[in-house]
Amino acid sequence: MNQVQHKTLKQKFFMHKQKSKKPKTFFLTFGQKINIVLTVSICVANVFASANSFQKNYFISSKTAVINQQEQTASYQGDVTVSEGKFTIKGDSLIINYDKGRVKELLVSGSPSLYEEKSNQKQSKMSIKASNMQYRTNINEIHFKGSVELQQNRDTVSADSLKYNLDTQELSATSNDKSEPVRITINPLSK
Amino acid sequence: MRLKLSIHKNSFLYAISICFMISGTSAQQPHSGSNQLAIENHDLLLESVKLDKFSTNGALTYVLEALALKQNSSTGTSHIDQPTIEFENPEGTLWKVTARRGTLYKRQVGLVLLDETFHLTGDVEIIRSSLSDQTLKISSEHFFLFPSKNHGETMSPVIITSLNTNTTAANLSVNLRLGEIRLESSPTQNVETKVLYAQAKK
Repeated sequence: MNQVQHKTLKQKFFMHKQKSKKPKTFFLTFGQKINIVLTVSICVANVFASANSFQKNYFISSKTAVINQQEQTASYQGDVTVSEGKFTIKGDSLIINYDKGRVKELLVSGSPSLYEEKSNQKQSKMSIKASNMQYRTNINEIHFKGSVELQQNRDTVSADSLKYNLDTQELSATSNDKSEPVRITINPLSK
Repeated sequence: MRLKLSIHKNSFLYAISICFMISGTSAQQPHSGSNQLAIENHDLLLESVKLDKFSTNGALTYVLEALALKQNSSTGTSHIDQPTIEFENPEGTLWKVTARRGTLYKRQVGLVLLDETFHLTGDVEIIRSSLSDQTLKISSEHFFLFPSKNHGETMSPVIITSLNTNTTAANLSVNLRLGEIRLESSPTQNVETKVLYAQAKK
C-alpha cells in the first residue's frame, strides 16, 4: 500500500470537515488483501483507564445455556447479551471457551451481532455490526468477521473483517475480495 | 430409537409431576397430604445409614448416607433425613449431592415410576469435582435424581458457582455421565452469568 495515500486517508477519516457538506466515499482496490491500520484516538482518557483496569466482570444473559465439562465450553442461545463496563454485545448465540476454568475467548454469532461501546461522550459513540465476533480476553481484542459495518458518529467503515484492540483502540480493517474493498464513508457534520 | 428414549425420559418427569399433583404436593410444600401420610406409616426406621447401591452388572451406582431413613414397605417409599448421595462417572468426575431431606421412590410397575427416583428438597447442593480440579457447585431447592439414567433435574431456580463464574437459571438438567449441564429460562427469569475477573494479564 502506498504509505502517503494511507496517511492521507487516516487524516481524512478522522477529521470532521466542517466546510464540505457532501458525503465523500473512498474505494480502495490495492490487491486481494487490503489492510488498513487506523490508529484511533477516540478518547485518550479511556485508553489510560482500560490499560490500568485489568480486572473485568462480564454479565451474560440468554434464554438457554449448555455447560460442557469435557469440552470446557459454555454455549448460550437466544437473545444473548454480553455486557462489560465498556461495551455491550448482542447476538443470537455465544460460545465461551475456557482454559483451566478461566475464560479464554467469547464467540458471538448473530444476524447480525452488534457491538456497542459505552461512552459518556455522545459524539464519539461507536457501534459495529458483524456476523461473527471473537473476543480474546488475554489480549483484549475483538475480531469481527462477515459483513462488518462500523459506525462512529456519522462515519462508516465496511469490510470483510475488522480487528479492534480495546486497550489501544487500534482498528484494523481487511477485505479479501477485490470487488468488495474496504469502504470508508465520511459524512461531515452539518453546520 | 431416540424417540423411544425421549418418550421414556419425559414419562419419568411426567410421572413425578403426576405423583405430586395427586398427593397435593407443590414445590413449596413438599411434605403434605398422602405423601406425608405414607412416611408416617413407615415400618422401618434406620439411623446413621450408609447404603451402597450396585447395578445388575455389579458396578457401584451410588452411595447413600443419611442421618435417618424411614421406609414404608407397602409403597417402597423412603423418607431420608439429611441425605448425601455420591457417585462417580467413568471419566473420574465425582458428584456429591446433599440436602436437608429427601424421598426415595422405588421402582414400581405400571403407571407411575419405571425406575428408582430421588426427590431431594431443602438447600440442595450438587458438587462436581473432577480430576482437573475444576469444582462446580449447583444450589437449588429441589433436585430429582434418576441414578440408573444418569440424569438429574431441579425443576426449580438454580445457582451454579464455579472458579470465577456465577450463573442463575430457572431450571437445570444434567447428564451426570457426560457432565453436560443444560440451563433453561422462564418467562420471568433468563439464564444469567456473571464472569468475575475474567482477565488478569497486566
